[in-house]
Amino acid sequence: MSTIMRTLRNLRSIGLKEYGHQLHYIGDTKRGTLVGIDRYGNKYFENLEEELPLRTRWVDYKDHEFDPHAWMSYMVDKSPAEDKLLQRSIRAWEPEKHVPVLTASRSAFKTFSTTKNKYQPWTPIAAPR
Amino acid sequence: MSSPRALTALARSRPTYSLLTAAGRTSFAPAFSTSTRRQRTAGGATEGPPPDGFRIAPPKRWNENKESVWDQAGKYFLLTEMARGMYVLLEQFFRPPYTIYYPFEKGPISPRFRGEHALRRYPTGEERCIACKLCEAICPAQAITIEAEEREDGSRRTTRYDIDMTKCIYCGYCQESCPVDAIVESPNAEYATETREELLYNKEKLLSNGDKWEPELAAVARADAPYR
Repeated sequence: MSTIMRTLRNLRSIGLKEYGHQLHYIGDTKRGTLVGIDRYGNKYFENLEEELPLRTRWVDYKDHEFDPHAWMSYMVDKSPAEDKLLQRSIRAWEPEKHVPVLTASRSAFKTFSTTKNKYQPWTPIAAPR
Repeated sequence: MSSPRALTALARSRPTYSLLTAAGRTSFAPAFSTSTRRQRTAGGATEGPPPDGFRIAPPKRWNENKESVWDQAGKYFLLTEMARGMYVLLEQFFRPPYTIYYPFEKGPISPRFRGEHALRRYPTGEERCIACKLCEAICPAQAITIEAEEREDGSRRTTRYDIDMTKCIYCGYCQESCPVDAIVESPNAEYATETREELLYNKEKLLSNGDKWEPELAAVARADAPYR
């Protein structure tokens, strides 16, 4: 809940459908400019004029999965759309698809040794007598 | 600074001591001492008892109350203080919330934040780490294990680069010691896992972290470049 005027202003600005979605999902109504959509489908918004400090940037998740962004954490000023350095999939060796953190599932990361064993089990060879 | 006497002796030995005393600084040491000794000085406004109105007056007790009985009874039976309390709550209810709605909005993270580790690559795709083992040597928690071998093309590379993230104290010495900026602590802090085993990172995991976070790592390097 916030001020009545702010809620009504946002309702008028974003429309009934988005209003219901935001209240059900974020729990607060916000309006701003769509800064970008990442490759997973999350939408990033910004409103530097009307929102309180540290509430000026927010993300509308597609389904609870986050593609990390320095922009969301106020580490950089420009969004990936304006900043070439922050764009993904411009390097050949980058992963093509977003890989979520699969903890608490069977696909969770399991560590393994990346070297050969230095000791082999000894298999005795008996000489014929 | 156990005793202020040393400071006053030091101040007396300075040639400007006469200027200090002439300026009216009669007591010199208590401005630096951490002890609770307080004394009233002639012109010192920083010492002595707090000014009037600094402390909130103690609340009136029942036998010090000057209100009439009818006022007290009216307040008691009409619950006016309850209504006043609820009005304070109502005011807060209609204020814009200052709370950051966490997964949707995030707090600020400095470019120098030291979070999850990652091994970076050169723009060509070649891994940066040359197995100099400086990070392994400097790690105070001894969380890094490195083994190196000669690769087929004759270059020296690691075969094992393990970091025990449960041992790591996130001091950042590894990224400071790295001569080729290979091991870095990315600004990612959201890598919580369910089990302890998932935090024993090996080389593949660290390299994949670096591939995934390369845009952010490049932004960190760019933000810190003017100060290096």
